[in-house]
Amino acid sequence: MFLLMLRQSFFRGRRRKLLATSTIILAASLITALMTISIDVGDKMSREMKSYGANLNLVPKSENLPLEIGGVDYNPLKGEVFLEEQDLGKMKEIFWHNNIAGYAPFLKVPAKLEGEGGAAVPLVGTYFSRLVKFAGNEEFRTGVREINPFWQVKGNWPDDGRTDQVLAGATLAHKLGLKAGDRLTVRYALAPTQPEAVTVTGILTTGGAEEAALVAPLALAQRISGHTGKVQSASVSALTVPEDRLSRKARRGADSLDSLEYDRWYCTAYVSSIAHQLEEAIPSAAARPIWQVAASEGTVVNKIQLLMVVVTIAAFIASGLGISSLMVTTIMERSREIGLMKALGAADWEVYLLFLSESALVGLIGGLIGCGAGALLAQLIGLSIFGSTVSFHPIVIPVNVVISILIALAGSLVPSRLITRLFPAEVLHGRK
Amino acid sequence: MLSYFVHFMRAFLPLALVAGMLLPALRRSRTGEAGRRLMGAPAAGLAAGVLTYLVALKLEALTASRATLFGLGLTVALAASAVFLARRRREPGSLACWTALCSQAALAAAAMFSFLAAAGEEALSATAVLNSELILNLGGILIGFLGCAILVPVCAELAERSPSRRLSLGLFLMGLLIAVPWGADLLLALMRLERIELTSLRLSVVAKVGKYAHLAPYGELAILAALAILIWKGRSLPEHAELAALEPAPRRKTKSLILRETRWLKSALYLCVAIAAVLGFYDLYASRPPRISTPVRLTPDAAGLIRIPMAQVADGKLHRFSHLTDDGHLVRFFLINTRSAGSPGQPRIGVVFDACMLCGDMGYLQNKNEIVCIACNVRIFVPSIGKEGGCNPIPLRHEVTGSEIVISARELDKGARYFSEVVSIKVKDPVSGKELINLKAPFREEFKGRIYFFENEKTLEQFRAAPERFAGADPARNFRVQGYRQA
Repeated sequence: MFLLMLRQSFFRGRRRKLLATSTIILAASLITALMTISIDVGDKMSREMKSYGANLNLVPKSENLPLEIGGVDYNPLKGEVFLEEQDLGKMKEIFWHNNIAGYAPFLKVPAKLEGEGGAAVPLVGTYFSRLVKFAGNEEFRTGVREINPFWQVKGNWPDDGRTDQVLAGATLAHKLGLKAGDRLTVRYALAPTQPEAVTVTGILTTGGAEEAALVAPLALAQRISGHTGKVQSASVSALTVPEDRLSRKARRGADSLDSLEYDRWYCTAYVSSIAHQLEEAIPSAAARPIWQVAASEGTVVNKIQLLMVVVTIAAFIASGLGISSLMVTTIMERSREIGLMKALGAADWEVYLLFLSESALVGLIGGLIGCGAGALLAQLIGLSIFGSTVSFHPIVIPVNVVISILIALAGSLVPSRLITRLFPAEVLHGRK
Repeated sequence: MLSYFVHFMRAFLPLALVAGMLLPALRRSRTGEAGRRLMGAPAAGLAAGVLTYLVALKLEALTASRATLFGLGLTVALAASAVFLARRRREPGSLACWTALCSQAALAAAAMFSFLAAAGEEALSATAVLNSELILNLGGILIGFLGCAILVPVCAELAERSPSRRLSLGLFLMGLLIAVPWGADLLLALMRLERIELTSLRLSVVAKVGKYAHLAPYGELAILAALAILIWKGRSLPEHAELAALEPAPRRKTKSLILRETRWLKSALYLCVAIAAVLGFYDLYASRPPRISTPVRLTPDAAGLIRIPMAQVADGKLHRFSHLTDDGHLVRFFLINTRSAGSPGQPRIGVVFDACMLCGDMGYLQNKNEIVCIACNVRIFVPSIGKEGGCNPIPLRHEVTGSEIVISARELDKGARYFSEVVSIKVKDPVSGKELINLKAPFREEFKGRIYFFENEKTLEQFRAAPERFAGADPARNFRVQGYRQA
């Protein structure tokens, strides 16, 4: 019976319903758009926090001072302080040494190509895939190929044992017209040292800064620059457990933990505890976990999140008020019908239920259409802020539908109180 | 999502049910007052629960505050009931009302506190930015809230239609289901704070109650369902002929009343079943830790050696085996090729016990290419299996001869103390040589980590006097802390 009445009443006053629906569509699409962007980044961040592997960056302590202004590094010590290459072996002595899946040292030196033009190129020395010996662990293969499986080479990887083979980064190769098999002569740019003849064995694609450099075995970079046995930084890949309450607490500093918590934290393979142990093992180094998403898109979204809340509230109030005025008119117009229902014995709440379900239905439809519109809007925003499209998350749909229905209900709640004030005798006589 | 729903239900189900069941009585005793006023007591209770939780979190005294809260709740509810029972003849109305309100407030405070404490164990979200997980978890709480909100009027309708004696019995049982876990918690806290003496009886009561406390929501739902079914059974529907004899208007009215009652009863039953099903799914399936694969039982040959062909275990999968020691300990170990599939050279097999020095004998599990320690969820770096340190499995000493891996039963026996699983087998009394069943032997004695079983006290005394004579010269079994020292 109720459903029958609802169906009949729903198709009355179509123009007004259309208006109400479009109000909700507007609000919902706005909310969807902002929410899609926020959720996309939020999900990436939470996946990063919950992943079972993480990368840490190991740098000399004095270089850990952030002196970056507008993307330019002003730290005077940058590139001047080093870690000892042999110290890196100590990271296989920490409590969680088995969880260190691999590491790669880096030494970036400015170099010049001999020949016409004498182009200045950065030369990055690293391990590609090298057997490193530790006490009790006769074969530990480590290097950029082990920790960055997504690095791709067109051609061959250089041999770590030789000092006459390099990879050319894709951008650099494009600029200088290099290809696999080319021969180059490289010289240190800061001091006159012996030039080295090298062969390009392949073109490297990483998606990172290495694409603009020559990537060489560490020994070559050390020899060319005279920094024997030194490295600037190291990338460490560790198997970790997802972050949780304890590790978040520990992030505020190890002092905030009591001794029991400290033990549990130390003996759990959190990124933070592994970083802490690396610093203990190599006292001259500072270890920082690299939260890639959190560091880039996360900061932007953190800022627009507040904006999102404000916009949502504004949209909520604005469309709620719109719905509310439409509802008043509806009730006034249909007062005779309400009077009749009451005269036939309908309780107040039954009349309420009819009108509220009607507006909830309007909210549902408006919310669904608004989701579609908002998804498109999100792509536009995504393209203009991050320069990439945003994937749509289905979770947005139920949330938006719930919000739209809430808007519709909130808008109708106040005017529907008029229903109680309608007396059957009065309205049926047409006095009110 | 699911876990938040379950936490919410576990905490708030008693409150919703009790509040709903008391509602008709409260309405009757306070005629003339708006029903809205009755919400005051639970609301105050909820606020008190939040406040207590926040203070407890600040002071890092969750357990103590929980016990205090439960104790206070119990005292208030009991005191109010006692006063009511003693003086109900003289001034029944208002006193009953106060009792109900007091217990509601106590329940609300406890519910809020336990929900916040349970939810605080898990993170609502991994980051501060809005994400799917956060929304799902909030959705779980919202659905739980809606469920409880619907339960209140449903309960009230059932209470309205139940005879008062039956309703009292239902409320009493419900109170029992709530009060017993609270009491156990209080008892435990008092024993911890050394206010009362710790006895094995008290401890076993607390442990038993704690073990079955998660079943309380099912009991509460069962009470609700029983009330609904009893009303269903007990109601007398007018015959068809009777209805036909009525005037059209009263007939329609009667029909409508019956329809409405049926709907209330049905919705109560459906709700009970749905909530119980979700709780059951969580308890039986979703909250279970992952299980290890069943180990293959191996028996050593006459020389006490277990031989495993290398080709059988070189495929990169985790191969789990077990060995039964003389005293019934089941020792698990596994073999895995630690060289990745494509790499050249001989396979290098890691041979390890299925136990961790830190986490115990929960075991390890292969999840696609990863080996996971079940207890602490750490991923184990596969090439490092067979080496000590971190959360790695305890290495097992073995030999590689040609294409076989040879493990001696003696080495496995040394690791028996890492495992807690004991199987019922036939053993011999080392002194008299009589055959016994290990789990049923009247006397037992541990020596060098091995358990010996005795048929009577005499043989036990003989053994105690000179254990070396009967036990043989095998070296002692390792303690778990010695695990990494062995290899």
